[in-house]
Amino acid sequence: MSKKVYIILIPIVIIGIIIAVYALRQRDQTEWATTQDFVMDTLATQKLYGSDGSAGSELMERLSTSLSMYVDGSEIDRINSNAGKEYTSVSKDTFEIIKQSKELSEKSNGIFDITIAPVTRLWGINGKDTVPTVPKDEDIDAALALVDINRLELSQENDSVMLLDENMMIDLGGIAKGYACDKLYELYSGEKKLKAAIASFGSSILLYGDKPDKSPFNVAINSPHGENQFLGIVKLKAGKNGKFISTSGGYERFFEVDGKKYHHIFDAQTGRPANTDLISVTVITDNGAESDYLSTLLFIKGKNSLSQYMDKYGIIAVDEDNNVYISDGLKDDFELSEDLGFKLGELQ
Amino acid sequence: MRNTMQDTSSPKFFKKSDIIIILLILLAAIGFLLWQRAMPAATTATISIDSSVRRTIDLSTAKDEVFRIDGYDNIAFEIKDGAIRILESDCHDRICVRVGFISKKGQSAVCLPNRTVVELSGDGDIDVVIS
Repeated sequence: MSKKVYIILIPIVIIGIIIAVYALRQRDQTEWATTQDFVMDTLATQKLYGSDGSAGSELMERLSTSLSMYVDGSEIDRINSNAGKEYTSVSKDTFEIIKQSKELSEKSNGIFDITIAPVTRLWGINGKDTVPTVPKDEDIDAALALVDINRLELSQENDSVMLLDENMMIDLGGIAKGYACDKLYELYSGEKKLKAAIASFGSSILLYGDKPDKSPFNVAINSPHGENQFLGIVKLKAGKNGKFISTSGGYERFFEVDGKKYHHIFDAQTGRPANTDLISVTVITDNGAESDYLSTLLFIKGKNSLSQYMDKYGIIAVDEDNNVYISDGLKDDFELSEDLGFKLGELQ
Repeated sequence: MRNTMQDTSSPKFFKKSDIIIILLILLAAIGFLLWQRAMPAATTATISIDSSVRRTIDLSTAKDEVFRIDGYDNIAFEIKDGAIRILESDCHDRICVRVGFISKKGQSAVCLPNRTVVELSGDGDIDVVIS
């Protein structure tokens, strides 16, 4: 072959190799399977590398039905109907989440309480066919008298549960999504071919495994002000232990009466939407139910309580003056959006 | 015959000028690839109803329009300046309409009562959005 041919050929081969490598990386990205399911009053999505996600969809559907207080005949509905009457025997999963919820409710000193349902029902904020209203003070007090985690009894013997007083009710809305992430984690761990997965219930997320290119997962946190902006992006490695993330904020689900906004995160001590100086709390930890519980608890407790949790968990919190507080362990992995008025703050 | 003599007598197969030409072609090609990657990646809007995809739209080339999906008249979409929104919906909470225009990868507008999702995807960094 003549020399001139080589002059053309060598660059072509090199360019060909570059394009092939690039194309292979592109193919990696398209091998993610995705699912969309309408469960737990939200859109749940899965993105999986190495599995089709049908088992996950089934699991989400099953949990959504059994854990909802609004589905007639669901396990929670049966417990609520039997309040003040008798024990209700439930499935292992349901018993497990109620047990964990009771422990967490007790730990929160009455701020977080899964027997809050008479209050949330009264406000009509989480129900499907109810119109949100601001109840009268005496009605709130009456509903609040029914909120008491100590009057929820568990019997380990045959996995049964009883609310001791009539009209008491359980609402697992504050923890069910996080718990579902825990159950999905169990499922994913057993799937040998599954390399990486992202399961999302909007406010609670599970990251599992390693992405094909070994880069960390990029999780964008929505701005508490809506406006289709992101507060920032946090880079997280998950591995086989998984990472669980939950966000609580009063900005997405709320209603307005006489110009005043009422959000959906209730303080079980007052029976009213939490009066807090925080507008968004994100918690990253290694258990889903705990991350869901903690983001709610810290949102209600407010800024002053943050410092005692900052070292133990991965926390990103925003106060009403747009100061952003981040755990030291996350600072290098968090990129705050510029030009949105957020600034890094220091806790006293 | 003379040419062949010259070639074999030369200590190197390529002359300096040849190598420069190879490098120039390579540089031009790599430059082109980089330029292509630096271009804003096309953002695709995917509209799903009842968990199945009904329409995908390349927002970088889409014309401004208001439209509905056949068989689902209760919800209307609008495309404007490379952004998309749910313009109208007969749902009671109207959370989906309040979301407004979205244009960046990872953003979505969801109407739970109508089981409708508008999701933006494309090359980019964000794997998942938490809200």
